Amino acid sequence: MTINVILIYNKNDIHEIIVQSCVLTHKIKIKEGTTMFKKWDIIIIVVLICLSFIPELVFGVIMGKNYNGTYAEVTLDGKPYKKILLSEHRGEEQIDIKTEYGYNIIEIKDTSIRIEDADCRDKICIKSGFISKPGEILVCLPHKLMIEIKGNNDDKRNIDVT
Amino acid sequence: MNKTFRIVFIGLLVSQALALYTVESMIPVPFITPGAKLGLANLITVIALYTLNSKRDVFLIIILRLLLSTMFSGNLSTLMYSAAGAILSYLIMVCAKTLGKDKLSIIGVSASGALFHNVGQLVVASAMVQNIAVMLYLPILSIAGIGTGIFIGITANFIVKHLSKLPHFGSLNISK
Repeated sequence: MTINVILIYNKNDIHEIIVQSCVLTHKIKIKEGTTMFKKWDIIIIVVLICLSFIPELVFGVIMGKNYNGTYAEVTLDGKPYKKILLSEHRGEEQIDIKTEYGYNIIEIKDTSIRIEDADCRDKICIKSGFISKPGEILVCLPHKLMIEIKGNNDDKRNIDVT
Repeated sequence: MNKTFRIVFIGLLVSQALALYTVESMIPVPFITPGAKLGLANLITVIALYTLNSKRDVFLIIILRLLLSTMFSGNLSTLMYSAAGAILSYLIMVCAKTLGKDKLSIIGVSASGALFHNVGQLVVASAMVQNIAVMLYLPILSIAGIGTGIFIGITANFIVKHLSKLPHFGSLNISK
C-alpha cells in the first residue's frame, strides 16, 4: 500500500500531507490532552513498571549470594573438622590432616577437591579422584574421614531453578 | 438509580463481560509470552467501577463473571488463577480510585489493575508449583499487561464519557 502511495504522489504532495497530519494530531492533542492522560497517570505507570522488576532484583541479590556457593565439609569421626569454601577458591592448596589412625593429604585445586595421599590400606579415597559438585562424597573409612560437598541452598530448590 | 435499573445494568455488564471473554478466547495470543491476554473482561470491571455507585455491586459483577466464564470454558485451575488476579486487581483499583480521586484518570487506574492482575496470578501459580521463581516471569507479563491496561483505560474513558450523557448517570464522578 505505502509503495503505491509514494508512486502516485510527488514530493511536494507528500510534504503537504505530512504537514497536515502533524497539524491534525496537534489539534487533537490540544483538544483531548487535558482529559485523557494526566500527569499522575504517567507517574503511576512508570512506578508500576519499576515495581514489576522488584522480583528480578530480589532474586538477583539472593542468587548472587548463595547460588553457586559450594563448600567442602571435612568430618573426622563424625565430628565437623573444617569447612573449605570451594566456589571462590583459585589455585592449589594442600591440607595435612593427622589423626591417631594415620595421615591424609587433601589437595584443593580451583573448585575441586581430592585426597592426594594417605597411609590407609586400600587407598579407595585416593582412587575416587577429584569431586566438585554438591552431594559428592570422599570417604576414607579406615581413618574415619569424610569430605562432603554441600551447596549453601538446599538441593531441592537447586533442581527446581535449573 | 432505582432498583430495577441497577439489576438490569448489572446483568448487562456481566453479559458484556462474558461476550468479551468469549471473543477474547478466540483471538490467538499475539505475544511471545504464553499466558498473556488482552484482558478485555477487565474493561467491564473498569466501567462498572466508574458507573456504579456501590463498590459491592462491582465485586458482584466480578464474581458472577468469574463463575460463569468458568462454566463456559475452563476448569478449576483457571478459575483459581483468574479469581486471584481479578480480586487483587479489584482491590488495587478501588484503592487507586479513592486515593487519587482527582489526580488519577481511568488510564492510571486501569493500568495499575492490570499489573496487579498479573501479580495475583503469578502468586497463585508460584503457590501451586511451590516455587517462588515463577515470579521472575512478572516483568514480561506486566509490561504487556500495562500496555493493554492503558488501552483498556482509553477505551473505558470513551465509554464512560458517552454513558455520562444518559440521564440515569447524572452524577458520574468521571474526571472532565
